[in-house]
Amino acid sequence: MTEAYAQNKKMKKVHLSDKARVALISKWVFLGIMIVFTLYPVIYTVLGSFKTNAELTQGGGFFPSVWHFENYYKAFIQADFTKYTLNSVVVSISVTILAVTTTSLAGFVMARKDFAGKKILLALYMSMMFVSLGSVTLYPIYELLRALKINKTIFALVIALTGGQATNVFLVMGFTKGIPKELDEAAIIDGCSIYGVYSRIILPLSKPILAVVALFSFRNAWNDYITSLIMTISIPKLQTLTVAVVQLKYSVNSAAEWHIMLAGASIAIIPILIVYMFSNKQFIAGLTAGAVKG
Amino acid sequence: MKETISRNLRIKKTLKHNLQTYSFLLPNLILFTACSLYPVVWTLKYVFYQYGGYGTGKPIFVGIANLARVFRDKVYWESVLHTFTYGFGKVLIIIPLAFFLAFLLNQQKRGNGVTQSIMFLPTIMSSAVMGLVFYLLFNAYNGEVNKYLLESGIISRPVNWLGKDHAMKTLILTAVWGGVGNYMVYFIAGIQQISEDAIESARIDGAGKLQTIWYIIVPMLGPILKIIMMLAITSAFNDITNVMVLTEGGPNNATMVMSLYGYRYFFPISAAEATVPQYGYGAAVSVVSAAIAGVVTVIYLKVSKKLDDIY
Amino acid sequence: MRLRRIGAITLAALMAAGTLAGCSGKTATTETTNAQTTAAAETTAAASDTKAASGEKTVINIWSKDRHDASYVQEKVDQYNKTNTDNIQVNYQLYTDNYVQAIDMAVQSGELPDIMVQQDQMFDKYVNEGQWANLYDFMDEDMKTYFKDVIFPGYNELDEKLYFIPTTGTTCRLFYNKEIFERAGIAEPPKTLEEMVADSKLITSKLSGEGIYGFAENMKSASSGLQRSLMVGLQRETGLVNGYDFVKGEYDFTPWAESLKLWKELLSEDSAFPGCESLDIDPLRTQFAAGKIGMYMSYSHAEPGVYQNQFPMDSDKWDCVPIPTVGGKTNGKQYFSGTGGYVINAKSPNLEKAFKVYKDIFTNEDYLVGYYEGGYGVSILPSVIAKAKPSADFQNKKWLLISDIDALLPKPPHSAFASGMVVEGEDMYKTCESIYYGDADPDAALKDLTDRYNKAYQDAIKNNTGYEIKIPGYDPQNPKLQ
Repeated sequence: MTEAYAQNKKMKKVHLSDKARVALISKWVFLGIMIVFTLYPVIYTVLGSFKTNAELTQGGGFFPSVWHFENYYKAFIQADFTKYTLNSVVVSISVTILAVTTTSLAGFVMARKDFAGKKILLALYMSMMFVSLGSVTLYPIYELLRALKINKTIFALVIALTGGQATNVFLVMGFTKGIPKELDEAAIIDGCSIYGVYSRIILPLSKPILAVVALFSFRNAWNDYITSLIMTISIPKLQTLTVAVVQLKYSVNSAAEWHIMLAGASIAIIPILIVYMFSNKQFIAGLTAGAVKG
Repeated sequence: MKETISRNLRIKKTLKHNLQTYSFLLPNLILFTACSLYPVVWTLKYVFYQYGGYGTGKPIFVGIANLARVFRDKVYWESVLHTFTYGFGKVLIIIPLAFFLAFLLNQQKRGNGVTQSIMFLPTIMSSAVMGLVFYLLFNAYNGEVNKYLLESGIISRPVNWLGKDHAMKTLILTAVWGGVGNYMVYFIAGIQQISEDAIESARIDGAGKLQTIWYIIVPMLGPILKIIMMLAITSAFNDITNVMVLTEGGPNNATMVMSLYGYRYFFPISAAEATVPQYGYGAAVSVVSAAIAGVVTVIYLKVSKKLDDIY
Repeated sequence: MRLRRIGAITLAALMAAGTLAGCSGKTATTETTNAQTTAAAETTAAASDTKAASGEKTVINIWSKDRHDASYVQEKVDQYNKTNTDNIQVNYQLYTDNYVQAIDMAVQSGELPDIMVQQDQMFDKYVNEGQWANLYDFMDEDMKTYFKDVIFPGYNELDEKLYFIPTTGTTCRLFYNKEIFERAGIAEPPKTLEEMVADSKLITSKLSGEGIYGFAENMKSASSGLQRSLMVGLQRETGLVNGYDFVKGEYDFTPWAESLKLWKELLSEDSAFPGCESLDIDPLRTQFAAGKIGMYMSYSHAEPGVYQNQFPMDSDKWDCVPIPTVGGKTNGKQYFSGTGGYVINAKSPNLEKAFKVYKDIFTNEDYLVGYYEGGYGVSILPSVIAKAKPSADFQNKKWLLISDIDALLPKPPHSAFASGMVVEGEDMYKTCESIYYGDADPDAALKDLTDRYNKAYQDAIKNNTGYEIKIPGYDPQNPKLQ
């Protein structure tokens, strides 16, 4: 920063004119509206989960008149949310680990090694990134997993949710390419095998990008609805939280139990909110990195 | 003699090398084949069959009958139209809004960081769960939105937010809610790449704020803007969960988008719907939809390249 | 080119972010991977989790789709689990609107439970695949005699095999709020569709200020809403079964035009409950119970239980009447269906025990009497009717009972071989939807619908995925099944 520039800035501060003040105020009025718009549904969900059904459907205050913590008890015990939460945790963590390990390994060799069929493989991965048939592909995946006889286990959901990972492989590959090749070569001279190069050099250095893959895999697995719905429809005990919450709409007393629905929704969003609070910088940075994902 | 040995050694070495390489690749390759490649091949095959699923007899080969039917299917083309309405609506609101937010929040000033985090918050939430919440909020008979509007006297009769006249607008609004933070972050990353000096020197030259935005920031954002737009467009084609949970494509298909329309022939959208699966036709619909999305992307790229040349 | 640019952004952004996972690189080489080992541990944990230990007990799974009797059945199941001496554990799983879908997926994955509530769509689809057990194989003579009155060849008995036993019945009625009718000054519930439209508009014009409207239907899913309302009225009005003429052996939807034009008015802003278009049945019932809706149509077996248990409403406040038709015309009988029937999975590894569970829980007289008395369904078994003291609802509201306007109707092709008959374009429900929302011209759309259904039917015959259905001498006033 040059001196002139700094001075210039200082001058501006002194001259915080009426015009600038108006600008500042209007900026925050606008941002205030946006913040309310953004936060309202979330706050409504969390506060609503402590209200009675009558307060929700027939009108009541912004805050619950009495805090009904038993809504959560009902959701966890009567609506079996303990089981679904456990499923969600197991599924999301498994997907995250599977995604990180497989993309890290594949991204490494794609960036560093030449092998027979590499060009074809790259082209295939690339084309799958741009061909999007959407959720209908769940049917053949389901059929395949049935043929392999793993459709009755939680594995099926983990595999379907992890998916082909083409974009993440590209992401990791791109990042690995940015790691200086000299490091590999030095390691090889020191007697490292390909496994050594990977585990001692590449893996530790690609932690940032793997964190991005992990964060987004976790988020997607935790939040997914359609894949989880299809894979667990005939095996309700494997349902994840998101599916269970949406299915509450069709439960016995749904129309009279908005408060339980919101308690369920809160159970589904609060864990990810906590994760977000501790890692929002990574999330935001990761998003830009994951831009290719679209 | 010596040569053959060394050749054998070399072959062995490359073989070993390849084996090692493939062992790294294999875990991902299995997933990729099972979850990306196989479904696409399956779908392409069933485009040419009539098939109602297990327990309904063998698939019948019907040639291009399914594709021909797609082109006759009025409701499908309406769903394509709705996809464009939805996509354009979403992009047209979200891009300027996200840009404006990024412009206001890109500098390291007090409050900006927190506000950024808040604006980004919706993108980490499950669109299915939030769809359910929006369904409760926008409910015509006892949703909060109508309650506030009625109390403040803006409307005198409950507005049917999820009815056929407003459902699409409501859907777009919720999509904006869920996506604006995402694009804001892209823009912030883009703006931060532009050197402060360029902006500052423009200011010293006496350019106003709007002029700075229009003449300095926007052109310099050109390349990234193009990518952001592309992401916004392609993601709009793929949005399905929020539609499914909020409106189920209704009423009377008013919010039926093409991704959901294909899905409908595989799985019933709403649990209450009594659809008989038609996998062959569903496959044809999905393939045509993917082609449409592809064509739009290509056109977009061509157009944005043309714009490049003009600059 | 494009990718390189994206890659550049990716990297730039990553560097700009900087905060990612602390400082990258400096302490690099000493770290080892324990990610993989945790991965392995994690996945095995997941695997063992799915193998839920069930002990030595034989587990019999029951799936249901019915909300209205869920608490009653659950109670009986719990009781059975406590008292049975055969070391059987019964699991009762409630599906709701996704029942058919769940059955479909379960058939494919071999996860089908032992006992399931019978539902027409799932029953028809798999009956020819040998999926359902022949109950005659297990029933003793006593049981056969006890249920002889509810054996209907062509319905639950096919080729001398009995697949399910309906114990209660259902049909559709117009439910109305007596208080609202009184307040609006309407003396009698409507008998014609024209009167119904007028009544609905009257209620809305007089009482909408208080949030009370004339008419509602759960139109979020057109098929779900219309199957319990318009379709049933049309069966009586036209004598055709969902548009199918069993005498001629073809579809004809054109007579629906008049009804649909009136429905358009019924659903217009000056008549219908706001938000009908996106309403599910249960939210509708809460609003009816809260006195916000003048009338709606639904199944006769479900509503009394709903207003007794789910959404309490004073029994004096509501009643029901037959669904009004255009001009009060009656050219045929209307939908009646057996309920309370269960099918047994013929491929169940515990077939014998499954039947025993079915017999012990669902066919004993205590259960059946309690079911009727509890208001979960109108019994169609003479001995139960003789014994039971049904609730006030059934004593005072004569139209809740099955009457001579209701009859078992034969199945039109699109139900008889649903997956074999591929109708191009929108089905009848969605087509009706486009008419009553004013998006399509009634006559043209119905003519088109007729053509499309007939073509699909003929194609199904031609492709051998369906067969010709004609009933010689079919009389809509006295329908025969075959």
